[in-house]
Amino acid sequence: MWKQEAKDFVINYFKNKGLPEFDKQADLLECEYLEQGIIDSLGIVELITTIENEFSIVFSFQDMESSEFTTIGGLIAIIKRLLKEKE
Amino acid sequence: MKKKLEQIKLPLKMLKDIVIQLIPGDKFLFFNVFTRNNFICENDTLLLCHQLIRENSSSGLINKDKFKIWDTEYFSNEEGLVSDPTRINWKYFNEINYLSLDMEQVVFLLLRKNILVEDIEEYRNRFRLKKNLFDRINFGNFHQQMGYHLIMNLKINPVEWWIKQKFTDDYSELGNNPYKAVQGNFLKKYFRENVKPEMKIIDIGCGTGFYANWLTELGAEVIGIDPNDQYIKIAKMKTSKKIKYYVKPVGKTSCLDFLESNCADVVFMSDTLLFYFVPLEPKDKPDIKLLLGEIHRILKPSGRFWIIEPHYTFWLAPWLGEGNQPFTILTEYRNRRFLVTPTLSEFINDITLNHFALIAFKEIYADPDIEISDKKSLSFAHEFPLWHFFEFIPQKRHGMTNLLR
Repeated sequence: MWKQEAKDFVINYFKNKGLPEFDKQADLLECEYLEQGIIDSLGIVELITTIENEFSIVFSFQDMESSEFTTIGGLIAIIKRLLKEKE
Repeated sequence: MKKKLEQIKLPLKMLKDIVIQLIPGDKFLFFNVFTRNNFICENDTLLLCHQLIRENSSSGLINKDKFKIWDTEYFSNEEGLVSDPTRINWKYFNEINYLSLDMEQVVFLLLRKNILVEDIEEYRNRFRLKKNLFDRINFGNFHQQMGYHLIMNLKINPVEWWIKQKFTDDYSELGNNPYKAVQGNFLKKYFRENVKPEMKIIDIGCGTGFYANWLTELGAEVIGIDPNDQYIKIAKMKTSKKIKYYVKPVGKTSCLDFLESNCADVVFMSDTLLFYFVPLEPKDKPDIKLLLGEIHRILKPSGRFWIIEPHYTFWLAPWLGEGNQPFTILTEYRNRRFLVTPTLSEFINDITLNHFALIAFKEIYADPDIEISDKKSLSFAHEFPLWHFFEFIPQKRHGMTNLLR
């Protein structure tokens, strides 16, 4: 259940930041949110702290350095992995 | 996918960008002067480097499972904008603890720290601005590196961090660092000698109003202007109620429209103009010509334009050597890839071309009588100026092009 929660939370977060509609979910998940200007560099701090607080997880430097972190789908995958590690 | 040793293109290439220093205990400090990557090692790593630039395959390399490495590198400017910018953790020179790496790990460390490279041209092409925060290929300039470190490593909002660099936590004093020993000390004396009661002074880029407050204490009538509403909010709480503060988009159209022409005796700017030459966001370059035109308009014909800026050559230059004979290494001057300031001639020319004349220029050193906790900074700042001060006067605008160009 937390897998779906993580996905919904992240997608809603970016929708509140002006994420446009996508025809295909696959395209939404591949969206590079910084590159596409959905949030700016300063917005990354808010993104990190919001997600960490919401799910009681901590992104490591390696998580944030990974190419996964740059896309919406990749970010969701990292959150799911961290939640699974908590179990 | 992480590379394996067999996939590395041997022989590796040696860079002339590297400085190696002898360290007590039969050790060596490796330092890339451009990227500021560094570490300490023993002789076996030195021998491995020689093999890597000679051998065509990894089978000929020292096969040792324990190389001692002291990772001395850290982002030293997280301690402050005018902290030691060298990125070497000097305490490791006496540190007992080390990393114990096998040969493959050392090879990847040498590559990661840009001590040896597979392709020199590919390495050189990395000295470009980062495209965004996630760009790990290009090295970026200092502001980008600083932003990356604050956001990605420390998870700190750079705007909140930035304002704390100069001052104590309550914004009442300059911090116990070169801001106090160098900049503050100079301005305190300069203001005392040159500010007269009832002078009208416009502090553009006033931040939290610290210097505006000093000017008010000397009897001047001060207006403080800054584009950041958080800073102005703090300024209003922490400084004299006599100061009028305005949040205005400095460098953008009509930012100083509310001020009458020829109203100011002095326009003062501190640590601000560099952003008009190398903006924080590359796409967001303020218009220096517009700003200078407005400053020219609001100054009285007998007015003065006072500017204090971090030294365009020595701010961010590495602090090397020791005691009373420090030295530095300059890695760029004309083509600024890392530095976030213009050259002196670019700066002076841009201002004089906009109808100002330079009448005074001072390079500012640390006052030997001032005690601050960072002794290394004092040592460097006694020899190399960390700030410079300019005094310009407005010139009459002519119809002709400036013949002195």
